[in-house]
Amino acid sequence: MTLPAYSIDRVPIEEEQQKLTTTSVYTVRVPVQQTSSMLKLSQRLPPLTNLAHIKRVRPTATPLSLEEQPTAAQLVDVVLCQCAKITLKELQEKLPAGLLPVQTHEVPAAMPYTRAQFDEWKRLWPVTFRPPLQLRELQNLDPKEQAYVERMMRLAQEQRELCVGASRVGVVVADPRQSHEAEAAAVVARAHDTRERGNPLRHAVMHCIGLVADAEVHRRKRSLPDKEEEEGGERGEGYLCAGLDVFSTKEPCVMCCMALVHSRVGRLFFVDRDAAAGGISRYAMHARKALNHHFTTYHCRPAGGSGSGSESEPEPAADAAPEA
Amino acid sequence: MSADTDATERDTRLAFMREALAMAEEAYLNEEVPVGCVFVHNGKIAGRGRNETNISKNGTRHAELVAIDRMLNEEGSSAFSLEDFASTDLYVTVEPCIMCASALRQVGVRRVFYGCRNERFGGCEGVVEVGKAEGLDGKAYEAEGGYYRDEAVLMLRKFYVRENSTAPQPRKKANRVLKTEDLGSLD
Repeated sequence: MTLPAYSIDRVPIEEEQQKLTTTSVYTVRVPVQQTSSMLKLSQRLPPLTNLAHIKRVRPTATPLSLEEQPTAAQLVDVVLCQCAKITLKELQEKLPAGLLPVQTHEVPAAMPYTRAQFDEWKRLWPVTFRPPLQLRELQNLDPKEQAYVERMMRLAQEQRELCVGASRVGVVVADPRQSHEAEAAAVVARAHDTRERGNPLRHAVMHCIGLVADAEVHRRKRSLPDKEEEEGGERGEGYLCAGLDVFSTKEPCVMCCMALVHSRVGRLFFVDRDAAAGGISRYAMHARKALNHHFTTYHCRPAGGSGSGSESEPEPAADAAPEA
Repeated sequence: MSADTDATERDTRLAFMREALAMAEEAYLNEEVPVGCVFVHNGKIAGRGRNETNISKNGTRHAELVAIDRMLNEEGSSAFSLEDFASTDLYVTVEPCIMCASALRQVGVRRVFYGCRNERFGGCEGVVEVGKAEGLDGKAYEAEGGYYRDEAVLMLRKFYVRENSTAPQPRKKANRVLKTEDLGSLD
């Protein structure tokens, strides 16, 4: 068995790289049996906004000895409302006499997206954690998929060898639904960079997108006139590059990344990172909330040994196992 | 549009933008997203383009890329060469998208004038500032919007109230009404 040629890591999306940000809330410390009356009270206060991930009640840090069972005397902290919505003075006027003093507490302002964020953020205040379904599915490629990626990337490298100019990039577009088939069945388009011929926009990605489009125009011309409106064909939607995988020997530039967004590609795999000018590195173009399409992106690092000039900067581990 | 530009210069720019609008109109009549552009070199139009995404089934055939490809690929007429972009301005009815904003750097265009802002995909101000960013491929350029903004917006709205039958799932737009009251006078 041959060793894998690449170590493949998914490039995290915006939310996964999010650092802890906080917002302040008012809390009050009460015996545990008063929890529900405090929650009732908080309903008469301005509601929490964008804080659905915050647990309302937290057991106090007061340590109990191992033998000691939770007793009626145990205290809990209850979130009353956000500090931004009401002044402390206004709040105190609404509270019954005899309560312990109101405290302000910093809590995570956003829901954790990864297990690592969860583990860190929950130390500040208990939060709920529901890793997005999409993220769970994308964690690791199974061995079959790894083999498919390697085959396709090898073809992309072959395309790269065809380059005669200074800019050397090869790209293959493939259909993952044919990934178990022979190479010929899976490959939809392949191209290399030809910008040295006088048009600086002739990047391999742009060329491949054009080839996919031309094939679709052809397919529609061939199909019967009454079938004209029938979208679909072999590739489900038959719309642009929807559902297709793109394999590039280099991280695509900003133009090419946006072209992939416009073309609705499914996944992008690239080898050499371009930290300065790459669309993924510079703008996280695969996962910008403002844009109408996102695609999963994988960085394929040559396994064991020096790659072809790829930068080996550490990427944060994207661990998002569901909460136990 | 900046106020300090002198009147003659502004008139010239508006005249070129009307040419870009004519290209957008051509796109509209051909059931394409109505965006049009002209490239101007030495006071003359060196290239024209309009959106061709529907006919080509290629989501990257935006007006700017169509025009650039034609300008660089035209056989025989060696009137325009790649180096000429350094002294060429683009007039485009809608702010270039991120893809086109990057392409314009890579061909090395001098300046960009546009009509309305592109809130969804804009690469000069709408979503990210690719045109002016440092360290990206190509050369940074200045971009300025506001030339016949209302005309550009109106054309887009006219297009989008019409049903886009090429989208994967065409939405029924029977209840859509063309909004105009927020636009200025269309002189």
